[in-house]
Amino acid sequence: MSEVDLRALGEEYKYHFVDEVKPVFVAERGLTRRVIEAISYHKGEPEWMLKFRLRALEIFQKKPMPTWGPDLSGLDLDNLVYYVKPAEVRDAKSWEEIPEEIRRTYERLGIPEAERKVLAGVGAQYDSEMVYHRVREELERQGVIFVAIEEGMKKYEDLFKEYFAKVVPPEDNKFAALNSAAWSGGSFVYIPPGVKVELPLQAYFRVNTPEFGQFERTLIIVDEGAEVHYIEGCTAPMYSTESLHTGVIEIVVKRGARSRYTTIQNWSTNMYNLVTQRALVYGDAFHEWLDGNLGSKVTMKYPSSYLLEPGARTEILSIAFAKTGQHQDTGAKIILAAPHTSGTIVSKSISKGEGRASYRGLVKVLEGARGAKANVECDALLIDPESRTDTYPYIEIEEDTAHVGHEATVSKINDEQIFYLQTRGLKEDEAAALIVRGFIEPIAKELPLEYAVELNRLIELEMEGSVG
Amino acid sequence: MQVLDKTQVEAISRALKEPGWVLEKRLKALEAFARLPYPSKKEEAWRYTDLSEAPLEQEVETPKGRRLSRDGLPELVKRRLEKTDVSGFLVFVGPDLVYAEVPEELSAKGLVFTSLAEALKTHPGKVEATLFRGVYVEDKFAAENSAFFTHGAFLYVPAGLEVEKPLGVFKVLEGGKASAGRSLIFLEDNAKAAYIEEYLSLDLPPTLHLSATEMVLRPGARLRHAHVQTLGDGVWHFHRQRALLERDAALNDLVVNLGGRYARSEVASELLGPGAESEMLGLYFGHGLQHFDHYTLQHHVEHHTRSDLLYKGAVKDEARAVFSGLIKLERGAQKTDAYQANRNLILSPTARVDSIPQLEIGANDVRCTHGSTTAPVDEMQLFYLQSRGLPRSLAQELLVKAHLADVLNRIPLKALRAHLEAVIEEKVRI
Repeated sequence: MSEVDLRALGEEYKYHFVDEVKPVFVAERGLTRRVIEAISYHKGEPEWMLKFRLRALEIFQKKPMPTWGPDLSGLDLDNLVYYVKPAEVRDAKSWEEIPEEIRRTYERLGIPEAERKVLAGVGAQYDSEMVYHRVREELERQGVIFVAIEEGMKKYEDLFKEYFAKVVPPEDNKFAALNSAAWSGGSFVYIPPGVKVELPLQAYFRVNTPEFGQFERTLIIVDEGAEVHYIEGCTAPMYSTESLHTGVIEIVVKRGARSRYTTIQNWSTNMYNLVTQRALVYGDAFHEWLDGNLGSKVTMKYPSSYLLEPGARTEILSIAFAKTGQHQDTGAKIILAAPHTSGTIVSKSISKGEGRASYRGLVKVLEGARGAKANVECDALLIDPESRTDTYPYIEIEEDTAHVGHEATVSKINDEQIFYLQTRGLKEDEAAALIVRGFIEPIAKELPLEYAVELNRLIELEMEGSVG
Repeated sequence: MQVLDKTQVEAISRALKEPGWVLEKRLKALEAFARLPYPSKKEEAWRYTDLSEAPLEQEVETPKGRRLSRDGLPELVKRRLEKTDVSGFLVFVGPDLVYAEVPEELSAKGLVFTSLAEALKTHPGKVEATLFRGVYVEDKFAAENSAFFTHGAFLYVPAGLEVEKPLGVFKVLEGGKASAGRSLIFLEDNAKAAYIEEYLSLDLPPTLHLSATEMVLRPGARLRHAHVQTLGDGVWHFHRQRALLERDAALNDLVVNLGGRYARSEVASELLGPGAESEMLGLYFGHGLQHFDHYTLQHHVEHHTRSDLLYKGAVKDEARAVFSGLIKLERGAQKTDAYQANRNLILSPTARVDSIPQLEIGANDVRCTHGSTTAPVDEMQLFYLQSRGLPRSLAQELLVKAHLADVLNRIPLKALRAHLEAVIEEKVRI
């Protein structure tokens, strides 16, 4: 990419463009029984799902807002639009079936091209509905399911019912209840025993309507000995009013399976991003969370792994970048509930300007989890005197044979390193960008290539003129 | 019958012949006490604490003005006095200052070491300038202490006076009624002192004990402070302390929890001036059903300040230990150096540890790190010691002592260290 392009990127949010899309149905503002019934009607849902939604609505209304964490006072839940149906088509199998305005958005975001080159399957959600879903044919033949969650509910009802809301019940927290009441869109993924999906499956979330709430719901079942990598990407145009993205991600990783879930959210900075992500990990299985938080106004997201059977393992890598006006309240949770389970959390955050990055985490070892091991490493980098970082790691141990460690450091960019790089001919801000890239390298190298490139570019732009 | 009321507060203040402003402050604290609910597990700072068996609302003991001769002191204190190296000391039995020994030469140099009630008469200005500045109505128990405290110790060290040998306060708890006491330590510019407060008792029926320690360190002052409780079973010990450190002041603090049924220590250092430094050490060892809570705060308000915290402990049987520490840096606290470590040994399948080392950092040119580890005794180390002929149980005892020795070794108070070693020795064998 040329120098000129880079500058254009830096001046404004790249995904800023507003799409000229006229939705076919827009629900009235606020979350009421009527709105829920409308959502259910438009989806043509079975009766039990409507009942589930209405029960969740009651739970949502009863639960108080969280008394901890970031300031959510700017979030006006009564003024949001909870459901926007962008088009009549759902889960199209080819891009041609999708209305042109929407298709153009995804082309601008480069999704169809990536699908051809590096992905095993793609799902695309526009406002409330998945407009596209396709998985490569050979995988389909092997029994891999990758469809919109609504299709999953209808076509594979028994499988769906066995797991839906079992990993994250609506009672879990206020926003899980909200999602359970208003959910729309997201993926349903099933990988049959022993099937290894080599290339990643990717879902792409786009919000276009202002003052809108997107309630993606994803359920992934990785059967015994299977393998999968699921990627989620998020963008929205910048409006002057606040929007909300509240997802619930449920993952079941059965014996001996491996899975990785990557999220890179680059929401516009007026988005409240309040997400519950949880994986149940069974015997000798391995689950990885790779969580990148670059955008949004406020993010509250703590991917968690429940290690339920002996030998289950997990690794959670988390990276957050907080600029002025952003509060990234992110972290991770590991519950070690069986003998010889182990987990690692590595968290890196960068705060710039008046940005605030908080790590909030939990490592809990239950009684009887003999020989369980967990290790947490949190590093925070503060760029400016006004930048802020917090660390709130909870460590709860009920087992005497467990080994648990936690370490955190806070630092600024080292002046000597800057000076050294300057003597080698780098400009000061280039040197700073290089050091920041080095800081996040252990996580960035785990990212899919296009995201790693994106992240590096972002840092370069953010660091421009930030020192000296 | 309502016992913790205005009549009671007035009776205590009258019995101690306090000036009017103290009664006023007590009554304001009473309002806060009456208004605040008892903490529950729903509150962040109490999420691991079960107070359902605590003797809350217990009637407060009343001062009787007893005095004792040195020979007439309780056995518990006499035994401690044999092995201490304090140069001066106060002995409290329940609410009464029963005995005091303060070296003439120190008093002659302007040092004041006496009961709070006495100091209010002899040095009212010094007390008024400092009392309630560190601990007042921060929570229900602080408010209860501020309203109902029946006794306290006051140490004042004038500018430039350096006292080498430690001064001690021994408090014997009688039990059955709630006991509330305070320590107020006020060091003027460049003064230096060491202050040890020890809390002792036999096993008692359920008893509420409230203690508060306020430390005011003027520029360049240096204080070594130790709060040591080896209370008997049945005691619910709520301790809160706060040190205010001005420019270049230094505090070396130690909090030891070994006794009681439940003990909670809320320990804060406020670094209010450049060059201020706080070392905060903690030591705990729980057995049986003991539950120890430690809530610490390293509050860096000004630039160029330092704090270094190390809390180490072990739990066995069904004991529980909680450590929740916060390093907080205000926006202007550049060039801060802050360190926090919590290390736990967990010695039985039914023991439990919760550790929450927290950071809130509002400045960027700083060095802040923290760490927490919880693990059993190292198998390799056990194996090595066994290979040298030690039975497993003895090897384990040795390694527990070695774990706690890291903290002990940082305390230059030799007699206190020997005492703590002896208590730990006893506890590893229980």
